[in-house]
Amino acid sequence: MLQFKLVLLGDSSVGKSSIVHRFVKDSFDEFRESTIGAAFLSQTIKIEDKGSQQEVVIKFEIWDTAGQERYKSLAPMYYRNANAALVVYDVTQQDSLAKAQGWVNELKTKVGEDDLVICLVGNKLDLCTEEGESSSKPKAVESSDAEGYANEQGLLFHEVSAKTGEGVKQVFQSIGEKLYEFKKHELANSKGRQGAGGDTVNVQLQRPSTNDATSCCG
Amino acid sequence: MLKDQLLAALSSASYFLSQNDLLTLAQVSRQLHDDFAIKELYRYIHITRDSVNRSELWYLDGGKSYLSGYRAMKKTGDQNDLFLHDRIERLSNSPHLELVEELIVDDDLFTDREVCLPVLRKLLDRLISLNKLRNLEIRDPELFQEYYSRSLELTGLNRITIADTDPITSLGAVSKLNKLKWVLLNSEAKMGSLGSSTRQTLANQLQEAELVADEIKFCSLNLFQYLQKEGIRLNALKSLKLNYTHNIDGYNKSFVEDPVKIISSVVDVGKLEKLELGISCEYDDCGCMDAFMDGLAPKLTSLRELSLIEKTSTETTSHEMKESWDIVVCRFIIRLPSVEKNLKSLSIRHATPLNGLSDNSLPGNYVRRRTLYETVLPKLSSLQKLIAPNILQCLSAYEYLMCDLLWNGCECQSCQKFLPIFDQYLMNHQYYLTSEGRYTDVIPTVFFAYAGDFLMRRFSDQIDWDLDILSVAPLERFWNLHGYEDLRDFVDYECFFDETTSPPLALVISHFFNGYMDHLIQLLPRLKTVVLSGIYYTVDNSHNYTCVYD
Repeated sequence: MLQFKLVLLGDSSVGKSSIVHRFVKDSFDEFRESTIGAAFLSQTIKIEDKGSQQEVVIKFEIWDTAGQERYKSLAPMYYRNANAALVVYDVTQQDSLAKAQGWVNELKTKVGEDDLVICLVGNKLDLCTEEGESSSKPKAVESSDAEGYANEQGLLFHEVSAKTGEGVKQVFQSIGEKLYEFKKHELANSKGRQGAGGDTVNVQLQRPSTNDATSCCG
Repeated sequence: MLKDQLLAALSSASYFLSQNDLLTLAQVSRQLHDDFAIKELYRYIHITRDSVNRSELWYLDGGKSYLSGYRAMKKTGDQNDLFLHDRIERLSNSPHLELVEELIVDDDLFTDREVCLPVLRKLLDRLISLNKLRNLEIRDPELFQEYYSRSLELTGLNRITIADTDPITSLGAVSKLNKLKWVLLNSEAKMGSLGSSTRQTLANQLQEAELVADEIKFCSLNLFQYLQKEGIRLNALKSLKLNYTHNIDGYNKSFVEDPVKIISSVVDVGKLEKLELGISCEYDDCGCMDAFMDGLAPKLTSLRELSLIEKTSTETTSHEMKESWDIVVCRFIIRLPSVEKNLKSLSIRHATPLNGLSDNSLPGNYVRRRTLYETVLPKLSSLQKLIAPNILQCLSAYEYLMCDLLWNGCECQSCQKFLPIFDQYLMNHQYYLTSEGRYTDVIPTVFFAYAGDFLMRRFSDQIDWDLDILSVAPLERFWNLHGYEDLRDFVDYECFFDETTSPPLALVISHFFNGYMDHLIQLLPRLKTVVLSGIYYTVDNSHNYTCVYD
């Protein structure tokens, strides 16, 4: 099983925790409290290795972070050693995309593009999909704008609704597939080095044939 | 009037209230929040890496607020850092910092010290600038050195730690001092003369002193000799911790003179109520330890709490040495004046090898040592607290006992479920036996010695005195059953043992100790509290015992 650390970043109240809970527990809480500090959850998915047609299990160790400004100083501790980042914005709040772009810049500067899969995610799609409904809000961030930005920056892009579950699984599925593509090459390279007697070869410890002489069975 | 009475009652009960209780109380009314709960919440703060065990049955987590990391069984160092960093950050920005009177900062708080220490420094800087602290205890050696001089400038301190005698002239500023930890870092340290105000403080105010040498091969007598030479007598001293070690590579001139005479010239031994003594003699034919103990015992007329620690410079695996140490300390105990009436607390800690493997650890030798303690303990008819910080490591040496624990032990439903799992663990794990330079199978002795060491870490990083074990809440720590002496599974075994196996391990060990508790409650009629290698017991008036946390 491959394990990856995934962090969620984004402005306060964009729905980071709701996305995680939809993915991990398939539930939604309309009145979720703000996250304090961080919350850690994990979830596994299966993807198909296109070469061997075999299923591969991937485990996400998800770090759900507090979006408030006061936790900004902790951010480097969140995203250190992360393999993937979900940068979330609220499709009904224009400002939240700008904040998300700020996070993308920070990640690219501090972590480096080669080591991290970044996925830009617009949440709360349910609030603006049904036109004319009294509860609907105008879409403040056009999909084309966000997608264009994501393409420019080489990010994955999805629009989702944590409330209805629309698109949530696909986000993690696409991240898992991209991470596996990266990891597959690393694993192949690592195996090659092992075979060639490189420095990653593990010493195979021999299991002793009998118990220690001091044991009762000795 | 009623309000005052309520606040007075709450104030008396505050020692038994945990920070969760205080937070609940703070939400009852503005008055309770302002006049009581907030003050109590901030008064005494202890920063620990791991969160503490809490139990509604007991009070050990009361009386102070703990700032700790992530409360989870499985966690990474990063995750723990994150939570602790956040909590320290929030405390350092609190408007109530002037209420903090005591702060304890444990060692080894962070995995990433570089990133996290600045936030701790920010907190320490703020608290020091407020100058309200009565006690500042920094157990992290790097931070201790960094804040050493500045902490001694705090004028309200009643407890300080000093190293050698460098800062001793500034002691005069600490007018409220009554507790002192004095560590001799170097036996050749230049001892400057003491100023008159310092002499006065030491002579008249000091109630508790820990006079220890950092290097185990040196003993406290160097400090006593220094104080004797300076003509200082600690008249108010009631609690003393010292080490008397006669080690093969640490012989010094102190032993030429009568050590009891030196100590008595500095301390009124008859006034001591609490004594913690680290003691050993590594010379086969030397009777100095026996002579020292025999000379000291009759003078301890007021002793209520006693801790004896086998303190050796080398890892001792010799049964003979252990047995002779036991004989000397048992004789010391029964020679204490009116021991049957006076002694309320007793702690005994042996020096044990990490993996438990000892020479001549035969059943007959176990029976001899056990019989010795069974002879002495019934004489302590007033004993209320019994502490054996590492008894599991001592017992682990006797393989037949550990095999019994695993294969012929408790038959309760839980043990029937868990013991076979640990049997499977043993069959599939190995460790590196340094003495033979090879990996070998884990045997019950080794496994339970490691487990004993891990259980001891519930308290060992938080205290200087074994007698203070019951003044701190045990830490919530979980062992992943790997790591000691490269303890690992075989390569062809898919290992699922991790931190989640730690609570069942503590449970089966507690059930093993229940057998000892059955005897102890018979031997000691006043027994109230027992700590056996990190397993905590409370005993009620009907002699029924309860294991508190496991």
